[in-house]
Amino acid sequence: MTILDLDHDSEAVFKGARDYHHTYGKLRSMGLQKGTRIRVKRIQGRNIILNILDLGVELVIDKDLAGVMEVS
Amino acid sequence: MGNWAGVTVEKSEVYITLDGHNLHIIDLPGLYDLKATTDAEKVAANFLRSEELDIIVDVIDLSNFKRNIMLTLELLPLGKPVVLALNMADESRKSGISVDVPEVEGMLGVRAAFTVGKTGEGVDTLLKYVLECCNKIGKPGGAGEGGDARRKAARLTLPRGDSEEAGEERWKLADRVEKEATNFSKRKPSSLTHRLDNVLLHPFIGIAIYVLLFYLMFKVSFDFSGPYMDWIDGFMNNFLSAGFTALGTNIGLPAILIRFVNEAIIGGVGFVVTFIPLVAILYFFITFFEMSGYLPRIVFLMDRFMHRLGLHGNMMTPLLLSFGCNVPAIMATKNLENRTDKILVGMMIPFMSCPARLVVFAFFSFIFFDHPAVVIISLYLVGIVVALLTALVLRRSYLKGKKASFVLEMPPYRLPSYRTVVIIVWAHTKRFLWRAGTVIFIVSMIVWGLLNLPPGIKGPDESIAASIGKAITPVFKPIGLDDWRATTSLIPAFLAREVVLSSMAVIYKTSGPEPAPGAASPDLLVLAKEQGIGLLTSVKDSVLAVATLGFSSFDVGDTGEEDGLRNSIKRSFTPASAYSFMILLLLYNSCVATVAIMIKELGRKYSLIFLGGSFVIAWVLAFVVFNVWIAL
Repeated sequence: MTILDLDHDSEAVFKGARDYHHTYGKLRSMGLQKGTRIRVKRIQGRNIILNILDLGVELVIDKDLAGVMEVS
Repeated sequence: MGNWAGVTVEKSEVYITLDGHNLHIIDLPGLYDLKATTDAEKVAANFLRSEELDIIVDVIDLSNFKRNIMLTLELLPLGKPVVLALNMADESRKSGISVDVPEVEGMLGVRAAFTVGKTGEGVDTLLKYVLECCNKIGKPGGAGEGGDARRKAARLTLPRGDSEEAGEERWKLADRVEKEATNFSKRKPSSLTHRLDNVLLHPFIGIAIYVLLFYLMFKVSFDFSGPYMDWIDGFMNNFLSAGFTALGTNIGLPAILIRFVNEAIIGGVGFVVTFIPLVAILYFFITFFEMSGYLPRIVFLMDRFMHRLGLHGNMMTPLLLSFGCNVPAIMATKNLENRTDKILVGMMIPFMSCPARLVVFAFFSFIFFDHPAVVIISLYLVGIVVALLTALVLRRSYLKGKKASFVLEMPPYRLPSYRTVVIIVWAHTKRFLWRAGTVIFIVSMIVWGLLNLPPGIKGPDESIAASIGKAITPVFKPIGLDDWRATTSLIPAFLAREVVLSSMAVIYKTSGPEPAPGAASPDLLVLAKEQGIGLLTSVKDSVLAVATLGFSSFDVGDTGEEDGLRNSIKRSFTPASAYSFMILLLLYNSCVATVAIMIKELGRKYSLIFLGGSFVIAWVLAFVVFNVWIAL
């Protein structure tokens, strides 16, 4: 399952990127590390706003990227 | 400045002397880790890895303690002494976060101090720790070595490198530091940000609020500043100029010197200074949006629209900054990962109107049109449309590259501190004043000199400036500019847009009628009293103007004289040629500083393509507008 499969307001644990994506490194340093809990705050247009619950940080990622980010 | 990566894009530095130490303090662009992906991050990462620095002051945003400590864990193995500024301590206290500073210091082997950037709280302690490090530099058992010993005591082994494994190891260590030294997990999430985002990010209501806020920005900028601009203009012409003439005549100064001061300095530089209230208020709004956290929300809202043009939301930040000034906007393209995106946005930015162009538009619009606000907004729209069409054409032809993924951090909303906003607005205004005192002053002197040379000419019509203006007039005649005075003022416009007005003020004033000989000397006390009353009236008018719903007009440049600058210019343009003149100034390049920064960021090839292309676009559009206007 990927972030793209999550509904609005649902929570999950981030498991890592399915395929290598150069932006993944940046996302990791922004706080999206393996094992972090995330909540989908908003799905709008081409983008998803994620709340990284362990950090209290909000990140926007586009749906293409969300489609390769695995969660459980 | 903001405390998240992406706000600062270049190094900025200051020298201070403290307790006998000469400190060279360098503020680097923010970054999340040393594996930099954008040009701005590379500036910081390369510098941190270099041997040019002695001490690193790592500013930690306490609301994101663990993530910020990740960078600290990358900095420590570099072997330089690190001092932690635990910043935004006020906000963290309000959110119930407590940090055990001795525990942090013990675990990481560094000195740490709570700070509040917007009030300066804790800076003294921070500098004390910096000086402690300074005193240890070069001595055995310096700060770096001592730090290693303390870290060993805390059994903290630092991973090195930027592999995924090293990153995960650092994450675990950051987690351990957070758990042992803070109660971060008990923090209260910001419900204000959540509630505001429900409205401000709404696909319809959010866009409507965005449009309304920008309308208010322009309305308040125009209407509040208008009366003050009128007052400054009157002060320059009716008090300063008149006073200097009276004083100069009384003490027997040569007539040519009196003319030079009145025409080149007060007429040229002084005229540009008139626009300071407008520039300062516009910068106030842009700074407020940036510092409050609203700017990333605009980026998010506009992403869908930008995507249709082959762009993405991240490109909005430099484009929005360009309304403040094109130079920092082009510098902000350093935050774009993809070189193709960077070139694309760099080519769009100079088409977006900046305050320097706005002052020219304001002047012409209020002279030639009944609804100046509509004309000014139409010019802004022309700039935006041309920029978007440029992106559309380039993305589908020359700059086809793959778009970078859209990733953005949404900072929480913050009420910017009054002090910080004032400091930033003052920095921008000072730059505008500096240009008035340097570039514009020099250009005004040169233009005045060219208007009075060669010696012995009967009038400016026979001057060198007139010869140059007449030589280039055929190029501009098809777009309605057939007066040498107008075309001459276009030449220095390449340096800075506001120079057009100062040059016009010099040219038209010099070529205007001579003051009547033997005119009675004005009573300076009476003039000063008039200025005082005028200032009070401006305060009242500015408040009343903002309170009205629509745009109120302001009347810049009307000195009240029968043959003032405004009337001279009115006789040399028509509404059609004035609009075509403004189109040319809007679209052809923006200033020499923009060209210089384009060459640095995009390279010479793309800068030259832009210079040639923007002139062709500007001329063709001005030609079409002028001829359609005449035909109608």
